[in-house]
Amino acid sequence: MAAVAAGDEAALALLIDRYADRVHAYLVRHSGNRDDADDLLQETWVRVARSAKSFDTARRFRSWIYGIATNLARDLFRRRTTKQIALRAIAQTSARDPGPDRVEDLVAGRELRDRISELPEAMRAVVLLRYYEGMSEAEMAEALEVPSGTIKSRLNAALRKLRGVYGVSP
Amino acid sequence: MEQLAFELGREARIDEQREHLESCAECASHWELLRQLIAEASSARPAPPSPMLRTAVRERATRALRATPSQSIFRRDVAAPLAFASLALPISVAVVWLWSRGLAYLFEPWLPATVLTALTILYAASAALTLGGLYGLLPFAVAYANRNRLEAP
Repeated sequence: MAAVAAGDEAALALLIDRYADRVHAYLVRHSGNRDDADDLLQETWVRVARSAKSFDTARRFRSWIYGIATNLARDLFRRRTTKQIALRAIAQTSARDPGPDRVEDLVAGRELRDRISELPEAMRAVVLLRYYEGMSEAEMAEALEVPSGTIKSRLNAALRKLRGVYGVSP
Repeated sequence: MEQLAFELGREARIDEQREHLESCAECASHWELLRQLIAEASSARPAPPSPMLRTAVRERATRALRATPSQSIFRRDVAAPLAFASLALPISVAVVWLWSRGLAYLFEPWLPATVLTALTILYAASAALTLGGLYGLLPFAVAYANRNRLEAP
């Protein structure tokens, strides 16, 4: 990242190669729409390039870029007037990929994706970052710029809501 | 022996947990949710971005990197020393004022007023020149620090 801050374009290309797939997958799940995710991915990297020189090297790059991606997705979400436009693509995109073998798992997986897509944006972000991107609570707190206690409570609330899939009311 | 005790203790804990999961619907549903989340996260991944999108991302990001050097350099490198200098300036002025007032009070009985005024002006002027010189060196110090940082291995 220090090289990118110094204007090294090759270093930027390397960073894009390393992170673009994961960030794109996150944005598809978060925004629920592949076209939106494509736009958001471009915008995320433009922001990274623009802010590279002011990047605090004490920060983790992964947290930083996911934070940018989350903020952009949130902004897009706020701009939308209709409430339920987003997140059908979690089901769409995942359905195209090889899914679990067991039928029950497949059904439960689809229900789970639907439930995640219905979560409020802040809760959805923590679920995706924790379970799909494998981030720690500290990393999530850094990415979303909130205290780790807030991350914990959001995650607990999200899991309570999701538990309804398995027969216990949220 | 200790290892055996540890293994037995662990198995006992696992059995306890299993029994608890069988009897507690809430914990069982939580367990199932976590299992499903992990399975779902590892099995289903959206298709990666197309090569066209990847190229577009690279081009736009590179253009953005080229287009934003000066403002960011100012924010990162000059803003902090400038803020520090703005804070230091009133403190330095206050120190100079206190010294000149103190010395004037001390020498008032022995020196005529014109001499005291001249000494005060001389002191204030030399302090102002020193401060001005130090402030003038700030951009050079920043540039030197940046060059060292960029050239560091």
